[in-house]
Amino acid sequence: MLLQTDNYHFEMIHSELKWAVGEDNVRTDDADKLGHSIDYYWVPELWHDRNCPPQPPQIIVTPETAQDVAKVMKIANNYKIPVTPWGGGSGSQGGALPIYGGISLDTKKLNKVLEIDEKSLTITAETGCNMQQLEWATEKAGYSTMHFPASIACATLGGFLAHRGTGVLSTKYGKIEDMVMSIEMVTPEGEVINTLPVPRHASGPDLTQMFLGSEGTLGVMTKVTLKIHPIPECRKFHAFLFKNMTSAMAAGSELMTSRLRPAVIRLYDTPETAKLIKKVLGIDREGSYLVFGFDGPEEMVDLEMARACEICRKQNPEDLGTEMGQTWWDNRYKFFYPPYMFHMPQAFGTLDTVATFANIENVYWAMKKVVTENFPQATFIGHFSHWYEWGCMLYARFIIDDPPSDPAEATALYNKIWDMAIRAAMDNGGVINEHHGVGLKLGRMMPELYGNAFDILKRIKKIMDPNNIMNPGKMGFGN
Amino acid sequence: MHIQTHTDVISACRFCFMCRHLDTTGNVTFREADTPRGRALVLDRIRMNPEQLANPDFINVMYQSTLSAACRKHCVSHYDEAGLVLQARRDIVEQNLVPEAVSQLAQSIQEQFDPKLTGEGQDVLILSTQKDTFEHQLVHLTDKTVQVLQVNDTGKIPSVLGLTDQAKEMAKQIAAMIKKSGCSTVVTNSPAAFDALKNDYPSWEIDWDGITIEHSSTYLTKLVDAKKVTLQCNDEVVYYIDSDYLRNYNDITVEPRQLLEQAGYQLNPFGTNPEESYALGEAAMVLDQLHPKLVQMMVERFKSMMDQPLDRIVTASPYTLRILRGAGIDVMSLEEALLACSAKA
Ligand SMILES: Cc1cc2nc3c(=O)[nH]c(=O)nc-3n(C[C@H](O)[C@H](O)[C@H](O)COP(=O)(O)OP(=O)(O)OC[C@H]3O[C@@H](n4cnc5c(N)ncnc54)[C@H](O)[C@@H]3O)c2cc1C
Ligand code: SF4
Repeated sequence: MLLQTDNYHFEMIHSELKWAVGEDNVRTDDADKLGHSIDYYWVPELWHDRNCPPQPPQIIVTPETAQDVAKVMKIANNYKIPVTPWGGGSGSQGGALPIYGGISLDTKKLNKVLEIDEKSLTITAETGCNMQQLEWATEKAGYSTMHFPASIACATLGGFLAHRGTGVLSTKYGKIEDMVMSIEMVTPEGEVINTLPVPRHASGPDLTQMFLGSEGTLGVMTKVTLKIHPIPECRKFHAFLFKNMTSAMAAGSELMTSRLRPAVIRLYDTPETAKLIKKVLGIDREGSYLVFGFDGPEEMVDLEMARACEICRKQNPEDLGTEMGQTWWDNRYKFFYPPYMFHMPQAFGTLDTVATFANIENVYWAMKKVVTENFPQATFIGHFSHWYEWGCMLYARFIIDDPPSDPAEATALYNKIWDMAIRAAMDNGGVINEHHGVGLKLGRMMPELYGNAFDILKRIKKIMDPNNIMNPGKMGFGN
Repeated sequence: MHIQTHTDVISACRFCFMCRHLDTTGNVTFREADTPRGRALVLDRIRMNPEQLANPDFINVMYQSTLSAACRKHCVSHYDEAGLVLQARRDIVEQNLVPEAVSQLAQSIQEQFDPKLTGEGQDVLILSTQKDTFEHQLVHLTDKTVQVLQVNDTGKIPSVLGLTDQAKEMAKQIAAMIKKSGCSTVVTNSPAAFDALKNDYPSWEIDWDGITIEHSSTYLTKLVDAKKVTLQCNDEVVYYIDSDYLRNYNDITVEPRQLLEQAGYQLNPFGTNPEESYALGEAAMVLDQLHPKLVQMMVERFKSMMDQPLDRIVTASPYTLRILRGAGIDVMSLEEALLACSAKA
């Protein structure tokens, strides 16, 4: 049901919500609604920039407990009102946008750190915790989550779970889905459920992994137990400038297939080395910049470092030494602050995908070809951020300095680039996305990616959310 | 509109999420609007549609901000998110949209404005915005006679409320009295007064003609360095809470800590991080009067950040001190902590 705000029925629902979760936790003020109408997806930003009317939720609810969430779900189901979970709003796929209005369920008051288990090295926390605040609390206790995404300061723990997010040190410590022990979830019909307490077992299929990445379409994750780690004795970096991306990729993949355990590897293609690395690190030479880092006990770090440098040197790169590696680490978040980050009037998108080592370069070249040949006004740059034993992630970007001023035209152009680039990735062994999720932006491509298996996902959605109140219009589930 | 002077800030902040974890208001209300991004979005709408300035929800957001500037300090390019809010408040005032509670407060400040200069001496003038014993202790320590300028406010309150004309008028009178006193240095233990004299007055074209403006912490540091005052040993564990006006507006973070350490205090870091503001709305000057519930929520957050309920807090901010004392938390002012254990060299 689409809610109209100017009638007594709205007031009845409004007051019912207030009785359920408290006066202070139900808001309808214009300032807050405006904030909830724009996340980090470029299209609503464009909409705002062109002074088009915002598409806000009618009501913002800020539950303080899982039971509060359950009450909201029951009310929403009763009236069939859309509920869109909102964490930090930093998602780049439009996942948190309440495109059908209704309730924006803001999780930020679910922000308690519940337990640090020093015997098992786990932390249990509510999912509305701001990730930086959670990391600080963990560090105060002498540990680290080792989850260091560039959006650590703005995103919530639940947002990362919902999008299968990742941090800079993922190559060693894993993506968020590798860090999770178990979760508590409120289903769309208002039941509070828990998944099994451990992530490795042979006790049936893995519900935890099914809910991770569900982007608020299967319910609201309210609590999570994560692995934590001791603070490593040391962390060291080294950087090289390779002649080209292919030789850098050869080094990077050998680093992984030789089963060294770097905490991070990052490889920038030549255009991004020229554009961003020059801007932020001041390296002004042609080539492909690769940096890696190891952490742990110093003797082990030194040994792995030496082996990794040996592997890289086989390609005859320019050795930039440890300092240029450390500088990269120290500045790792700087890229994301204005004015370093791309910004209006530019149109830009992060076409991230992942593939095996056998496919990843093909994916890169196919995406680049499609973007540069069909959209000559676009620049294509990319880096490879998160590395696995079998492949790595491509963080490609297109940038258009001067998109059409008409918002409809600009949106159409933007959509077209996404369609063509992501299809090129899929045709070459890539997937829709690696860590930013699907959301509103890429939902339409889900049936194509999954083939007839998508029907299984749709049936799961139908069973869990028969009234389709949870985040309608996202993930390809329709409205 | 005054916000047009900060369009660079609006453009930078409206789609940026990078400092939201430090917004002092946002960290207790959890509202999207109470972040630099949220406020910039609102002001961008107003920039494009000036009639929307009259929206009471938009006005409320501007007056809920603590102006702590923790976000500006954190920001890689230090975009002046706090300054933007001040400009918005000026616009609200100039369009006669100011909330009743704000006008009443400003009026009562005006009514109580009656600066009094006492004492004698050519060198140091103590500017005092509350009844405290700082000036007596300082006189006792340095054997200097000083003049004392007692004033209810330096113009900072109307200034942060957006009433710049009233603020400038108060500033003019205070500056004239200070100049007439013949002093060479003004010392104040109020970070807000220090910021007003140091930064606001010159921006209102008040020229100090060589008079130095000092916060008591930097002044005392100089006395200690010159061996005019010794700080005696004290082995208590304390938690120092930064003043927004000292840390985020004037980069004074080292001197207060150094002085406490020289006095023998063992300093433990407060909370989980060094970036957040724990000053409870100090930079908004009267937040406790305009939004008592908000300040209460900040106090609760403060308590949740304490290692133990009985931790001893030291703060350079008289505002923060007052709020914490009111909440039953054991707290000393920086001067109390230092002067209690100091002696003439
Ligand atoms: C500057 C910047 C840098 C970034 N860098 C990274 C990076 O390094 N790594 C990375 O992974 N991402 C990155 N991102 C993207 C973004 O931070 C992530 O996608 C993050 O997971 C979003 O979290 P959020 O709390 O902001 O979620 P939101 O944007 O509020 O929501 C995202 C989705 O999750 C759903 N959701 C939110 N909370 C819950 C919950 N508790 N239960 C169920 N569903 C929920 C929402 O409905 C929505 O579909 C970056 C973003 C920005 C702005
Ligand atoms: S102050 Fe800086 S970090 Fe904060 S929102 Fe503005 S540009 Fe972003």
